[in-house]
Amino acid sequence: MNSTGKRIMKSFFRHKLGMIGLVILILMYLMVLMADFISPYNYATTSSGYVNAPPTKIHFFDESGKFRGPFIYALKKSRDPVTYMLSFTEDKSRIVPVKFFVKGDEYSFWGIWKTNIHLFGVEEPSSSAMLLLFGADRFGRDLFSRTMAGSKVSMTVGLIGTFISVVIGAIIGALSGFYGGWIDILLQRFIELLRSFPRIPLWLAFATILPPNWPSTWVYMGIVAVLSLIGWMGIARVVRGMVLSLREKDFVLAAKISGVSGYKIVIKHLIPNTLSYLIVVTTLSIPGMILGESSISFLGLGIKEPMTSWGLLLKQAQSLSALQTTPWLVIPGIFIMLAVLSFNFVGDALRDAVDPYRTVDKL
Amino acid sequence: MKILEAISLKKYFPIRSGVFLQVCGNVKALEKADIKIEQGQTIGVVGESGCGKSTLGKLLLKLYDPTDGKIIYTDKENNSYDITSRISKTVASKFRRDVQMIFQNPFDSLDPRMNIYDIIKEPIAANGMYKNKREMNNYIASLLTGVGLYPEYASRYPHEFSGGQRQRIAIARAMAVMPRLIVCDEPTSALDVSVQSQIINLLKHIQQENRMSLIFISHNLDVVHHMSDRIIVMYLGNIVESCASEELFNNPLHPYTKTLMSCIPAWNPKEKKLGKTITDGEPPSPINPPNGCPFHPRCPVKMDECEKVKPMAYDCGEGHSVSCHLYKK
Amino acid sequence: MTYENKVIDVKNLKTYFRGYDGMIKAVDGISFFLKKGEVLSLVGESGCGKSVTVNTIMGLIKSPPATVSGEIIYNGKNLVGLKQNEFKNIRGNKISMIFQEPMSSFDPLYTIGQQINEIVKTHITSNNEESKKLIIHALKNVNIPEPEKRYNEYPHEMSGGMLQRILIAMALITNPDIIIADEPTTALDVTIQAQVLKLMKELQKQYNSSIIFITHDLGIVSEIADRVHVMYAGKIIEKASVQEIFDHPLHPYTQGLLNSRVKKEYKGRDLPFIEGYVPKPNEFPNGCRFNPRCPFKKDICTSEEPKESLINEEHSVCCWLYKEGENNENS
Repeated sequence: MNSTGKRIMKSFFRHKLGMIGLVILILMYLMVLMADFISPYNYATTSSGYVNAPPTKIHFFDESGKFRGPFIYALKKSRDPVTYMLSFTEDKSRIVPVKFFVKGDEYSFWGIWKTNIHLFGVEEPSSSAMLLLFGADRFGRDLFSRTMAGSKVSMTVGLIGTFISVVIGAIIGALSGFYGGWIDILLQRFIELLRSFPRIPLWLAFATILPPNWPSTWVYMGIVAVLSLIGWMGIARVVRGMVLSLREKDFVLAAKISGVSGYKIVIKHLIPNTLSYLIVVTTLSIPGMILGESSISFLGLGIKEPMTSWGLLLKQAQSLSALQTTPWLVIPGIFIMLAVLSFNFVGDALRDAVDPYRTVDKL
Repeated sequence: MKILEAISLKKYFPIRSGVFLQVCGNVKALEKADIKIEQGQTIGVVGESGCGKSTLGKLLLKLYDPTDGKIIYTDKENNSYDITSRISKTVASKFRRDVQMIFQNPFDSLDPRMNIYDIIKEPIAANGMYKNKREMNNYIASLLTGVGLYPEYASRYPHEFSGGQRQRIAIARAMAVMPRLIVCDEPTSALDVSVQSQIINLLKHIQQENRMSLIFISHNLDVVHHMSDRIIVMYLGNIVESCASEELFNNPLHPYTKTLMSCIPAWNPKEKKLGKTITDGEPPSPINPPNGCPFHPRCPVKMDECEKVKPMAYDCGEGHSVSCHLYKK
Repeated sequence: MTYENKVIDVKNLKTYFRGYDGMIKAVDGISFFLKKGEVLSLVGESGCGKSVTVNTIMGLIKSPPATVSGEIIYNGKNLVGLKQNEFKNIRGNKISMIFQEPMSSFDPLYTIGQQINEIVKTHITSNNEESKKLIIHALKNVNIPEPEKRYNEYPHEMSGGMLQRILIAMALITNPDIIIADEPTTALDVTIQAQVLKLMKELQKQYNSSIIFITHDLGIVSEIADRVHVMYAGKIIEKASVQEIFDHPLHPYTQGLLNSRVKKEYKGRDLPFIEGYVPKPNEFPNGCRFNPRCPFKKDICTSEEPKESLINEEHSVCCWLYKEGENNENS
């Protein structure tokens, strides 16, 4: 690595919030990779006995104060005689130990091999006792497992969508800036036209085009396409601006004087010189994509049940009464927030780090 | 042998405004310039900012298309081509090898993302020289030694070098295709005073060794005099005086040239020049140049005629030509 | 010299910045003073610390992150460590500055009049009528044609030379004790440079003002300065009157600078030059900082820093070639 790279790394690692963000993101993507393994249940497993059950408390000491390792009490259902509301209480007589590497629902790990080993869980079948870290939803599905499953959609939609939109944006922007003239004017007016539509209705319009009977994986690809089709325009504009100023630089003139072809100038001089900006803008626009997917799914136009995403999970927490009686349903929202903030912190840190004019510490 | 010749070269930059970008005026950057460059000759172009000297350089390099006039290029085999507007591929590749440029700001002219090896390799590769990697390495090493740098520097990046070293790298890049003409656009004015002389010496040596031609553009009369065989003085897009460099220093004719010379500080506190110089006013805008002689609003010896008629170039003998009514015969 | 004669007295000033690879000692222990009514020229190449020196005097260096130590005695007060709001009364009022880039020194959104008025309002009078009169007088003073019209014009309607003269008018309007000019003519063409220098010299005589004039051009120094301090790599290496510097330069660097002028006689020969390059501010060599480039290098030059030795009343130099090791800081 050259010393510019080293300087950038050094300055990035000095950015505290950026480092925190980076650690959180690494953890989150590990979570995405291991989602099926970490979650104690399949995201679609329902259990009629645990409809809207609150998060399970994990205990270490029993009633008598004796240490028994981590365990949970099985739940007892009771109905409130006045409101007819179901409520759950711990059945202190039934101690269910929490174990690591337990057998549970079968799943195929990364689509390669089938297994039924989960990182942690209880050995009893879901009908008799469930470990519900984040509580359960109205079908009695484990919200923790569903959040893990949702992370697969939410965390990757941003990555893939941003990647596609950055590629489209960089190419169109570079073309527009380098060739100028009519190509530039046409592309710029087109971008302005697209950008003048309000965002959410545009998403909705695109999203309704996706046929409702598509399987979830297709819908997922469709959403990625919708998001990246809308996301590239801002990037294209900035790349165009950068290319416009870069192509007047003396080093580009020097290449022209030596007879280097236009295509090679774009590839060897213009794109590398916008690269640091592109990396920063990529990091900073991933949260927008995550939020975009959440919004689409929240509005019911994205990922469909039983597959899930964080936005779709939040949909359950839409009503006031849901918030009152089952407040744990907003937990996926915390994950969205965490991911978005972390990406923003990392993006800020990167932006400060690649700024070549910051040779002296600002503090 | 001639390399380049320009005949009444003219460049107007249109100013556009409004919704449909109509042309609403012109920056008259260069008016009817004639210039001829022979093999091994150095032509100095001197003038203040906005006088059109850089435009002239870039026109000769075919970075811009001229508004009017003609550029004629003569290759090694003494074939002449009109390269004013469209150039055929074969002529273009000859031209690109023959004519190179060194820029003013060495912090701008080297791509910060490329190492020195790649920077120097670029023109070599673009012109299809040295396909063999070993030969290429040796050639680049010899180029670097030729400009007073270590061959080991090839793997480093531009930001690791000082301004003077960068300008040496830029010279090595320009020399890489063994050009017959280099246009130097203020090659020393962005450098520290103590380094300027190094670069001037280097350029002079390289030019003499290779019997190369230079177009040396600068605002510094002393430097231009040191480098050049002939000097062209420009003012507001016009060539006002042109002659051998000794002649210009010993016998400046145009009032503007005289003014320019009187403004060079003496470097001797006993001979302060301040207070003696009489230069009022500033160069007018090239969008609305004055009628008649471009220098007349500031000229100390203005005549009535100067306001109305633009002087043509008068020959005052020994290749000394001046565009001033004072020298009309 | 009596104390009252010194308008400003800088003692052992150090301005350090923290860089990515260690301390950047931009200014490293310099001492000088400015007398009433003189033009003191700080000469040096890029990175020698001349601009940082005056920016420190102006209180424009934020500390922290930079570390400033030493003393800048102005009017019996030490300016080092002064709070920003205490500086307000001094900066732009008692000490004013002329910058290198006239174009970027003005806000393009306000007229010339409005911008000078701002200064007049903070430091002189809040009466608009009075202030306008004052400003138009000041503009006339720097040979601006039609000052009443220019008062209402915007910076982009004026040329660089005109703006530089307006900057000079701005700097003079509060009748400051000290004017700091940081390369005021570098961005200008030679003919305009001559005009501006002439104007500055005339005004300086008229107001008997004290000027610190920063430049890298020894030609300008010969025209305008009374005394010259040559800076190299964060140090002042030679102090002398302007005549002394040009007649008897002592430090090898000063000699090299004077020799690097392109003279007519050199035509057809190599120009004399100084070997090597200006060191980066984080890579200053040990001992005398000029030693890697010096043609007269001795052993001691690489190990020990030379102290200032007084040659005669108006000439001192930091170099091991002369009268070794005597410290004459209180001259």
